[in-house]
Amino acid sequence: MDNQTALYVTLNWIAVFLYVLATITNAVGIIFARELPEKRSYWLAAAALLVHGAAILHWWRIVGHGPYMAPSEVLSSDAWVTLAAFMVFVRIYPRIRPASILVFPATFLMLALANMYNPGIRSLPTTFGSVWLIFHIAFYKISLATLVIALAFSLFVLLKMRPNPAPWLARLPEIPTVDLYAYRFAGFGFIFWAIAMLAGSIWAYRSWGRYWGWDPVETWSLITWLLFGVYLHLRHFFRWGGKRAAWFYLACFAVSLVALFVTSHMGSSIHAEYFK
Amino acid sequence: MPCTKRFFLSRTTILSLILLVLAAVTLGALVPQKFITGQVELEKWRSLHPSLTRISDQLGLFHIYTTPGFAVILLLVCISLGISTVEQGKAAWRKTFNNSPAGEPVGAYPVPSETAAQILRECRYIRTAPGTLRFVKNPWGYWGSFSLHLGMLVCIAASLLITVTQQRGSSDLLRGETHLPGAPWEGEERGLLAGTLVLPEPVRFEGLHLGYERGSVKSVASDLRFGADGSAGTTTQAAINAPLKHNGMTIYQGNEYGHAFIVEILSPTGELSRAAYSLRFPSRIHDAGYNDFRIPGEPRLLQAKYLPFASGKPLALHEMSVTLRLAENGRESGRLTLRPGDSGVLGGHRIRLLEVREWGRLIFVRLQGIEGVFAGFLLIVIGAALTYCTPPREAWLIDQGERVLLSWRSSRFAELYREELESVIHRLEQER
Repeated sequence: MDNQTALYVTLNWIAVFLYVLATITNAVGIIFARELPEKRSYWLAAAALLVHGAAILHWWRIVGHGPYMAPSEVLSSDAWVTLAAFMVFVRIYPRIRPASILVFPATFLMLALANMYNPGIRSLPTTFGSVWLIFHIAFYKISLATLVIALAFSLFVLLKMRPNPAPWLARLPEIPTVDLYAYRFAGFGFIFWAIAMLAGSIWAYRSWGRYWGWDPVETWSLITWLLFGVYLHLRHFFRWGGKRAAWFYLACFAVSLVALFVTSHMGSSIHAEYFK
Repeated sequence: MPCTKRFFLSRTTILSLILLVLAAVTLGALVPQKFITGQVELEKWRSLHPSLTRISDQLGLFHIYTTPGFAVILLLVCISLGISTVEQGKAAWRKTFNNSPAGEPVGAYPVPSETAAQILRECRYIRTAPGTLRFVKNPWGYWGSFSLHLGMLVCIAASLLITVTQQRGSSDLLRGETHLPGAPWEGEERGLLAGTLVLPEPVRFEGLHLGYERGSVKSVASDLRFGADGSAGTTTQAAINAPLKHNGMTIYQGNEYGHAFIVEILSPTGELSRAAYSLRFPSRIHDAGYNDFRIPGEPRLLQAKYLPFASGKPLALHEMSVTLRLAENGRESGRLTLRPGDSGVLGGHRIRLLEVREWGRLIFVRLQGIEGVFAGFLLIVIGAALTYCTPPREAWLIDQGERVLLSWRSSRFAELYREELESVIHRLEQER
């Protein structure tokens, strides 16, 4: 391993360490109702974001393209965007802070998984030199962030509705409010997913004259979007809420993970050509 | 409301239609589709899933998007979307410009109605009409559903137009080759009501330009000359990410390009033939490009390899060499490396490399309706954003002389805007 790659890997593991510290501090703060550790955990998370961001930028300079080719790059940038977007949303909606108990560990797990992959240098295919591709990838990452937040609140609903919920759950907002946040962030996820999908269509049209080719990645992305559409319709028109909505959301989230992480490796997909 | 309209607008119908589309698309993802799956892969799937193959054949699942069933679902979706869009447009108009019944009463405050109105305006609530005391924050949010549904309708309609009228043809050309009007395409697609794409004039591939960065190809562009008369025609360029619009068509530079080795082959039986072995440019410039071919009458596979770069510099065409090898069951039975002008014997065939030329794939597309698709995209995004990011909040002031009664309602996520309402209440109370 050369020095540049060693620096990248080292920065990533430092970031993982800081994320783990942030996660533990955050969990202690939330579960044991201690305000100071909970606040400090955000400082640790911010520090981890800085180190992690530096690693991403360093690797970007080495390989000459953004973090969206190799699996390690994709997972690493997904982790960074998830936490960064959460930090932004927390400023706008302070009441979503408890979702950090899921967002922080999700971030470090994604980065730790990224570090398991060999950080190979992939050349950027010529068709990737398009601003629409940047929008396409960026909005999928932002969508993932909002879906993780919605996942946190859906899990809170399920946990709070158990016969004997853990005492710390009582400190979260009431079930209707938690449920509402799950709904709201699922709505955000739906919007960003739509933008990402449509930006991809525009990129595909500009690159090879076909805005939709029923490629497995495109198809599963559409399936995910339609599923979220069903979820939102059930919520709005059939007044679904509580456990039913939470379980349905979990299923939708699982499908979104398939669409984001599995289908791009299907041999029959044009995306697979780039991610071999 | 007539029965048909009620049926198409009912929540159950709408949800059922979404689920039907979802089911069809999911089946399309799980069962390999003929139009994008290679024959070998399709046969492999069939042999692995014999019982599923029978059902899939009966139901047309191998081409689900062209089955009558899918067409019916799409038709019902369009009818439902169309009616829904009109109704939502009317509802959005009513809510935006007309008065509506007051929401939940919040409280009574001993302030003049004009003071209360000023407070609401400062909280970015807009009076909906002069003379009324109805205020709305984000009234454009009423149009979210309308825009979302209209966008989907426009997208589907434009997509259907494209599906029936599109014309596509791809051609792999060597430098100096011309694709004549009416010549067959290497790859072709056309809509259900469209004929074969015929070029209005000949197109000659004049050359390939490759730009490099960090050890890989950064840009690819083809010089093209249009017109029957080679010297008087117009020359222009099509590049990756910069398609060329010409004479009602769009011409794309394909992602397939490289160098073609033109050889003359003398078989052991004395037959002379020519062939152009086109090899793709490697993804990294220091790697090799590969491809496999067949020599007529030769059962063994002919594998070809070439290196476009040497010592960090691109090789000139006359310096490029190709390595040919014959393989049987994965074992090499002969190998020959040739430069332009060289000849040698491989497997009993005398092969002479005549020249090396660039080649590239060009994709010619004639589409009607793509603007509709992108307009639909924009409406969908605007609609979704308006619906979930800017839900309207309504406030009514009922003047009761020395005091004013406040009512308030949010179209969505009321609980999330409770703090906003409390802020308005706090300001009203401060004015006492």
